Amino acid sequence: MNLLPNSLKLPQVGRQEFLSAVLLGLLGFLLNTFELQLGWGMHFIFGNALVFAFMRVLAPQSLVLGLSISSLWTIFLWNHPWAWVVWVCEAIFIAFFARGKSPVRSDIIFWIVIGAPLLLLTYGAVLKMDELSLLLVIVKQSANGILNVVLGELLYAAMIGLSPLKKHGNWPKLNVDSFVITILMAIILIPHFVYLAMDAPRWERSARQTAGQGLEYRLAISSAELNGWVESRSLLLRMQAKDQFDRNGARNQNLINELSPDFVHITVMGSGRSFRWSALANDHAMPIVDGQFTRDKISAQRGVRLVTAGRERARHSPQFSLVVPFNANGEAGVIIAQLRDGVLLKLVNAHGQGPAFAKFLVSPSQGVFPLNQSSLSLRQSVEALPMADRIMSLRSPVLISDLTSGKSAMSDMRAAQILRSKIVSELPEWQIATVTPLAPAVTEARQFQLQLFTALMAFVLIVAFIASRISRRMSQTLGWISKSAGDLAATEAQPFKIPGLLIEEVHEISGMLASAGTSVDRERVALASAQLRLANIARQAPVIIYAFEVLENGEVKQTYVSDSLEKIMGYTQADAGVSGWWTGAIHPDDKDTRSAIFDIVSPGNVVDLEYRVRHKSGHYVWVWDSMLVETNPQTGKLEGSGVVMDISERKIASEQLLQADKMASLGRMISGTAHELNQPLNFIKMSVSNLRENTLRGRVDPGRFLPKLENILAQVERASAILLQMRIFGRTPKELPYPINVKAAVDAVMFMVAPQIELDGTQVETVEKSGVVYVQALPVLLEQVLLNLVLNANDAIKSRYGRDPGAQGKIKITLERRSQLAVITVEDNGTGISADVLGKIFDPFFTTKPPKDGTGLGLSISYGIIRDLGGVIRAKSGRDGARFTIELPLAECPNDPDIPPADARIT
Amino acid sequence: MNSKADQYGLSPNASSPTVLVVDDDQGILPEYQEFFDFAGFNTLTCGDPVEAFNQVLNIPDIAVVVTDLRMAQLDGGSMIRNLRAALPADRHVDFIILTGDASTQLMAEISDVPVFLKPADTDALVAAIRAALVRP
Repeated sequence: MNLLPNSLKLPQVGRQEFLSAVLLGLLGFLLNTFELQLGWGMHFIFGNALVFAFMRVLAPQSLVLGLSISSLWTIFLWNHPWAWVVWVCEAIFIAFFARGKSPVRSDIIFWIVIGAPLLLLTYGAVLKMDELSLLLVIVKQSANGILNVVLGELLYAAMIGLSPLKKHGNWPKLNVDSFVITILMAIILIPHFVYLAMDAPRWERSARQTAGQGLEYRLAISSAELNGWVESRSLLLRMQAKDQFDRNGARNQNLINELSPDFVHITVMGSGRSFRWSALANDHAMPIVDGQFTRDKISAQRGVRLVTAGRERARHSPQFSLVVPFNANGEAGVIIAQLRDGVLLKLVNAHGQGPAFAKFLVSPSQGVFPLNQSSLSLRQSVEALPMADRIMSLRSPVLISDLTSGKSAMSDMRAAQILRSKIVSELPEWQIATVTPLAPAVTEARQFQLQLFTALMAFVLIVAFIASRISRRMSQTLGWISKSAGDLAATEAQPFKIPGLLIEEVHEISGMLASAGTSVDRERVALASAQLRLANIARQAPVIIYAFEVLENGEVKQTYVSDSLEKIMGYTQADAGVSGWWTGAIHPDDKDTRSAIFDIVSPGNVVDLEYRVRHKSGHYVWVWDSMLVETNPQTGKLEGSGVVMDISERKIASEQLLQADKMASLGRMISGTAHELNQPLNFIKMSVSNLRENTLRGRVDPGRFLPKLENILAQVERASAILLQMRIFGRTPKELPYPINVKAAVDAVMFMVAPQIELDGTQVETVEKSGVVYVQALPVLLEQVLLNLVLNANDAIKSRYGRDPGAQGKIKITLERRSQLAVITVEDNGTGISADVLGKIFDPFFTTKPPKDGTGLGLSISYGIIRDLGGVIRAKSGRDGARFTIELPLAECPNDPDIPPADARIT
Repeated sequence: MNSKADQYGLSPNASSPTVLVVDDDQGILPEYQEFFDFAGFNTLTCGDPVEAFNQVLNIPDIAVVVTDLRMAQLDGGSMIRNLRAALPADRHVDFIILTGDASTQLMAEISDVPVFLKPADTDALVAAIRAALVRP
């Protein structure tokens, strides 16, 4: 029973709530007594609305209790319990299914699914109501039920709109669904009922009037008929009486033919009983007139009239006689003519005969006699009419049905009838009353009401359906808005409680928005202060921060540059506003390098570059420019940002450091060089000293002297070689490196050393593994390095295999590209390098060679050269010889490798 | 004084004190030989410090060793330390360093050894050797 989510877990109801429910029920009951008349026994009652108003506050069982109490009035109103049963069912349905959701829609569903069938069952099968009334009752009760819920909702909305109530307890807001449907239903239903309430009595009145009019005409006709008959019969009676008297003696004992159809007997009496004559109709043997005809009754002064004969036959047709004043022989008398039974009846019904009209003779003293019909109940109804109503009926029609069964019920109205009466001068003791049923008018009114109600209910259904859809969408939309507002609000923020909003969703959104507003406000302040901080940082930082975007035509548009620009570069923001100002300030020699950055930059990669930019005051500043370009996911445009830092000091420091390093190396070198130079000097000194000594002693022997002199010259050569190497090491290259073909450098070296190496029998092999490899260098430097390596290799081979290796020695030079590096390997199969000297081989003046063969500077100088070119040189000793590896950054292949260095820069 | 040439290690004057000159620059050794011969010393030369180490131990006449410091196989300082450790207690050998390296730190390590810088001050060197040879 998932459909009953909370119904099985009824909340505990405290004594206070129980009493409140009972009190509400009683108030509703009282309010129900002020029913709204819709005519013909239809009522609208509103007391339940009061109880429904508290449906969100009361527990389900309390709500049902309250509504069953207030609905009790229907039993008194309509004399049956079924309306109460249906309404209690409605209360249960609403209480358990609809509280807080959309009670109005639920109620509409209730009336379709449960209410209407239940009414059909109870009113139709049990009360046996006619079809028309039954249909009308169903739509009317449904409308009444829905209206009560709508009114309840409006009442509740009004209550929670009032601030004092909110202080006590929990008053849930209406959701937008409920609000929309309530308002729409109120708009549809309330005017309808107002109209009906105003219209229905008028209908009833007019129907009554129309019927009364008919009765009046009928009475007038009857009266005229009677009058004419009385006139003509009086004349005949007088004529026969006169005739009798004029005959004097032989009186006819029989009525003349003209009179016998109407009368059974006539008696002519003088006032002083001086004469008396009577005649009988042929078919009557006995005169019926008895002594009850009093003198008073026959008094001649009262004119022609119909009177009831003395012998009353109660509850049956009374005996009427026509009394006609008559003068005979100067004496006043009367003719009393006794009417045949049914004559009056025939007379009265002569025109307008029909079942719709019942006629009665009504006498205060003698009761009610039906003239043309025999319905006992109708006669009883007429008899039961109070005297005041009888008198009233002489002036206006009187409704007689209500009287029979107390308070009106709709079923009674079907039998409602109205009565009108008239006094005819010839029939002074009686009123002629005529009664006609109101059923046609009621039926007509009910048909009209049924149409009206059916149209209303159809409209209600359509509107409810549309309103449901609309309100659901609204609810969703509001939900989204609420969620968005919630997202705006900081996560930790509680939604504000905004008083005075009836609709839950709107209430929530407002709360969220208000909270979001505060959050946004707070964040805006935080943002502003963060921005201020950032701006301060940007202004104070020793860097220029900038941002730009790449326009569709490829142009780069600067979008931001920090104020630190002025401090660092001297330019103001206004200077920076000029398109292309930065490029214009770049040192002419660096322009191409810098513009090339945009060719290699790609989204997501950081590119940095060092170049010179003109300070506003004219001098150039070395800057380090690091930029990141990214694609803006929103616009799809390329946007970039970067940092420019003044690195002039660092550049100078770096150069100084380099120089200092060189000086330190130089210091080491000077002491080393001193040693190295001292060796030849020492030799020369010794030799020369010995030559002098020999000469002094007279032992001048050219054969002995010549080798000594040769040795002295050799030592001088050695000293020169040392000094030459030092000059290379010590110099600061003024030429800028440019891309050179490594293979060309190798070839140049081979050209220089080939004669000597070939003499030693060493084989040299050069392998280009990845085609032509270019590096950024100066040929003289790279050749120096290669020369050192090749000569070292050859020396190692010689020390392994002796003076004449005999083609066993091999040197292999390999050139290859490895990612962004050019790798040059020089391998030999010489002695190799022992592990303990491997770490020292690049130190200046470190050598394993005899002093005559090596200066100890070759590898040290090579190391310095490769480092200056941005590369690395490594030595490795294998089982078979040594391997030197040089790694240098690859350079782009120049368009024309032979162009001179000054113009060979990348464009 | 002329009889030393073909008698390495077997001096004709077995008892005469001998000077050993050690330098890995083979070319200069004949010049040293000739120079110290002129100076009147009983002189031996050796181009290999390892061999020189053995000669000192084996030839008791060697009373003074003049050595270079920077040598490829064994540097002069190490050779002096090793010899001092290896020589018997009754054997006295004087050492003189003759080096081209002015900045050598070995001077501190072997502070009691006189150091002559190349190109040698010949008179002072001869005087120093003579002083060492006359020492008992």
